[in-house]
Amino acid sequence: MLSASSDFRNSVYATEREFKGRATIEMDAYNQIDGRAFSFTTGFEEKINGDTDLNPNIAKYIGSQLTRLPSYTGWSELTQGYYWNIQYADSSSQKITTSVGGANSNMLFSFNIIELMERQFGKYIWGEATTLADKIAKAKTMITKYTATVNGYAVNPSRTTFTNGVRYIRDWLNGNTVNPNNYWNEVEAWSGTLDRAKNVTPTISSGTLANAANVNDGNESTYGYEASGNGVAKYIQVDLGATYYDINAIKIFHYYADGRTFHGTKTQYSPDGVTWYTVFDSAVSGEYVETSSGKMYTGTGTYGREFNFTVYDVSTNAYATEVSHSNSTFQTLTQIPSAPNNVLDATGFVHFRAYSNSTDASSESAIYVDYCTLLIEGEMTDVRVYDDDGIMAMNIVEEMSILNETLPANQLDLTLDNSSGELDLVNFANMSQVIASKPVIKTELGIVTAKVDAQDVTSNYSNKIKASLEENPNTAWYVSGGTTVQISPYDTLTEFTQSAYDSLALNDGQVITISTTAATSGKMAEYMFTFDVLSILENQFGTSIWRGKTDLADKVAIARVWVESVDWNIWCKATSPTGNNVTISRWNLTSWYGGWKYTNADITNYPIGSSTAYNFIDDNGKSHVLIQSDPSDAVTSSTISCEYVEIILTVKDLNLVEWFPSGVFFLTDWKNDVTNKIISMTCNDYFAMLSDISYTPTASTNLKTIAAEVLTIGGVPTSKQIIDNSLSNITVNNFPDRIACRDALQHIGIASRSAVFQDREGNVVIEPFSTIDEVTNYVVYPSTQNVLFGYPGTGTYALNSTGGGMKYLDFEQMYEAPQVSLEKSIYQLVINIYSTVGADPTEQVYTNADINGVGGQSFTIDNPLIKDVATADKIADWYIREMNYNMLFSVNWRQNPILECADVILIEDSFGTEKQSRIIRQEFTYDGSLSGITESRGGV
Amino acid sequence: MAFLTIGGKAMPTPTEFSVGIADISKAQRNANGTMIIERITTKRTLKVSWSYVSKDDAFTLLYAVAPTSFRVEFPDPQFGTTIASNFYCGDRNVGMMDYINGIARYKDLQFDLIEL
Repeated sequence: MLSASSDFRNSVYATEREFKGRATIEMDAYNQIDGRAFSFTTGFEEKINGDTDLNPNIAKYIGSQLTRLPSYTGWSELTQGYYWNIQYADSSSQKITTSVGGANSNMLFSFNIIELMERQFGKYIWGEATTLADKIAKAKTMITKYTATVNGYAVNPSRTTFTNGVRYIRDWLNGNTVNPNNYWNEVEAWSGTLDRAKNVTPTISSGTLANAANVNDGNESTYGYEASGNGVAKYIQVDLGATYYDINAIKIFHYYADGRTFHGTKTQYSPDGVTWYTVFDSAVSGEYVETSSGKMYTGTGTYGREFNFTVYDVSTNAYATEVSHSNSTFQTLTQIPSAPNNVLDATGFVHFRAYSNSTDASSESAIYVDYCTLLIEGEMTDVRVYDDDGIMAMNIVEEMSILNETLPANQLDLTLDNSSGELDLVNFANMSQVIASKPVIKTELGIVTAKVDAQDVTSNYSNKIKASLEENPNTAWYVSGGTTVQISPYDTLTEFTQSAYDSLALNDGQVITISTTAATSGKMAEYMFTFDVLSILENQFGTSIWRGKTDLADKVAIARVWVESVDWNIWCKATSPTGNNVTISRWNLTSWYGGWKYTNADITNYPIGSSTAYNFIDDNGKSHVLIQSDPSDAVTSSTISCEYVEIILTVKDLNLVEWFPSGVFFLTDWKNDVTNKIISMTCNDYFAMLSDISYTPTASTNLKTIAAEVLTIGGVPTSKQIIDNSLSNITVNNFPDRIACRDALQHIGIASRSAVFQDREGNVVIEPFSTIDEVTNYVVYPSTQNVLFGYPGTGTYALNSTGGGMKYLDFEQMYEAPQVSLEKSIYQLVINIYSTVGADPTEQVYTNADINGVGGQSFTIDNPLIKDVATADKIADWYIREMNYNMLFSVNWRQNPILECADVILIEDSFGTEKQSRIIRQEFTYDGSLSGITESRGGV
Repeated sequence: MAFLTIGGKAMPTPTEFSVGIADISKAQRNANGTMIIERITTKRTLKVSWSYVSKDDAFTLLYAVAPTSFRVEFPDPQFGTTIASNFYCGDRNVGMMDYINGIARYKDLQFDLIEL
């Protein structure tokens, strides 16, 4: 049995259920048809901070003086509140800000492409690729375009800079008025109060730069020098490490202590090391005397308010050219990488970065981001995924032969919608080669475990029983006589009486009131209403909304992103010495928020709304609201009255599907129905192909080796062979002559007392029944099944009773009572023994002691791999035991896709006997809904 | 915003508009006689009609629904918002109201739009 979640368990046998189907076709060898376009959009909706289950994308932020790549570890992931603000195009946005000179504000949007593709199209989208690197390579063959969209704007001080961009600075010298040597004290690149060149050691064009570390050490009086004195112009070059557009000044200091003048002075900068801009040239402007003030050059471009958006390019390990806008309001920017394959990194992510221009420290540099989304477009070429839009019908048969009289024959009949014509036979110039290339079709069945349309869920105090959370999980609290401070969820409070709850249950005119203690100053009358959001949601929609999570913290996190808004309607009023002021607050995780004051003298509904629901569901999954009066004085008490309170939780759409593999097949027939615009495909398993290929015996005598040789020559890749290691302990005489691979496998199965079958992932499995029985709890004592179960030597197992859950097939799940039939028992078994290769066999005869009387059916096993009596004895024991389990069940029912051949099940029958039996055949019929037939074999 | 768009083009506001919501299910009784339901999907059928339409509007409407399938945006009562899906058109009926000076006017133009 395949493993499944508890949500699946709750859904699969529900009175109403919904299934999905998916078929993935690999046609890599002779792909001759146009690709199948796909596109989908992702963003940060329902993103939980620190979690990648609900949404695998990650967003981070940083304020930095340097350009930080995605790999930089100093990025901080967005907090939950930040994520909340960037999830949609709405009125909420997130601000990132810095006031450090030369720094800008950044947000990094990292999209997990590999995970997103797999969630969208299923795990078979990768074909045979299993490693992340292979999946990335595969994704690159499919994805043709990324379109990232960000909505935001920036704030930063406008200033004058070298807007061509500065990464490299060169300063040329050729001797001076004192000697022919060259001296550099400092090369500075200023962005406001930040020197981006500080501590960057320069390189020299030729010769040796002595004391190079003195240049740019921040000390303008120390220097490095070049002393060849050969009269050749030299330059030193500073690399800032990235191209900066915020450099407002370049300052050059040469040796100045004696007021000398340098010759051949020229200062240049470049954004890329290719294009150079000259800011000073003594040949043009004339030489000058060096001073301790150095020489400063300032930029002339306007480096203003800019919101920039760029993409990380793996091939250059840098961000690509950004797109920008300078509006002071939200505006959309789009980034479409010109070479999509260059932006998918080795972790399977693509990264986009929004950032402001840097500040000069006179004011902040900030970005405001409303949302960021990514549209992924591509074309499926060698792997196509068809879902319910394309699948008309899917019929799957999987088999396992108990006694290997015949090998199983798994089969898939798949009917696809071909209204587009993409699968018409005429599209394939050499169809026979396409078929011969064994196109693989992998199928999956999925069940909808949770389906919720966006809606409001209202909860109040109806049916509330005091001190019980079962009938109604909400509670209400107060302090008798009032208090001088606001009560909180942390306080020890008094729960409402039952009659108070009853009054609160309906908006029917019944009012509850408390008063502060008479003649006491400064006390407020207060009610606190606590709504159990988790229970409200779970009672309404079931546990599957938690998506497999069971921890409280996880459920709270999910509720915070799934509930879009939390609203309350509170019918109340207050009295106090200062009038009818009533103050309403809601609990904002750690404190009361709001404090809205109302003054009506009569009971009035005061709606309180929240657009940031995540803030109003506390760590216990509860929402609290507080109503209070103004304080009393020594003369007049204060009162608070309430008629009715309700909470309204607005939840988003939810559609969860849990998928299961349902088989791997090879396309053998392809039928075109032009009239109905459908394509019918018939597919088989490895065993069907094995019958066409023969095995020439080798010198091998090890049964596992022989099995591997047979499978390999039959076209089963080594990676798809699962041969139990116990077969390597069996020594046989190899086959005397060439033999069809399929027949050879039958003999191997019997000789090793193994099941031979193809599993759901397309592996050919040869596994002894003794091993299978240990894990499937097969019936060994059918006549006493209510007492003992278990394979001999492995202990006893509990009866697979009706408590077996999904393994119990009862009438509730069947369309009709199961068919039950009995096969004849074997009385006499004859096994031919071949002591040497090609020798005439000797017969060994066994009698089934479980059959009373004399006579009965006789059966002969003629297997050239059986070479001695000891082996024959074991086979006879196993064979007769299995033949005694001769009751066959056939159940027409709803089907359960996680039940596999070899699973032991319990079937309700008309006789009320509920026999255990082992599944030998599963048939799944999917046409938008699922049904099928299960056949099993067990003892009487 | 147009009440009804077909193929991205705004249509005249219909005189009558009804939305049929059909759950596509396979319901069978189990061996105990209890109904069990295999839900497949939910589809909509729109019944739309116009009492009086000009020659140009009649052309706009009938031309819009002529393709085998097309995208329709309409106000959905279940979700309370405009939704879009792909539909095909059933038989179209249109009666002529009058024909004056070579200009036809039509009445009772009606058809069903069935979700694919």
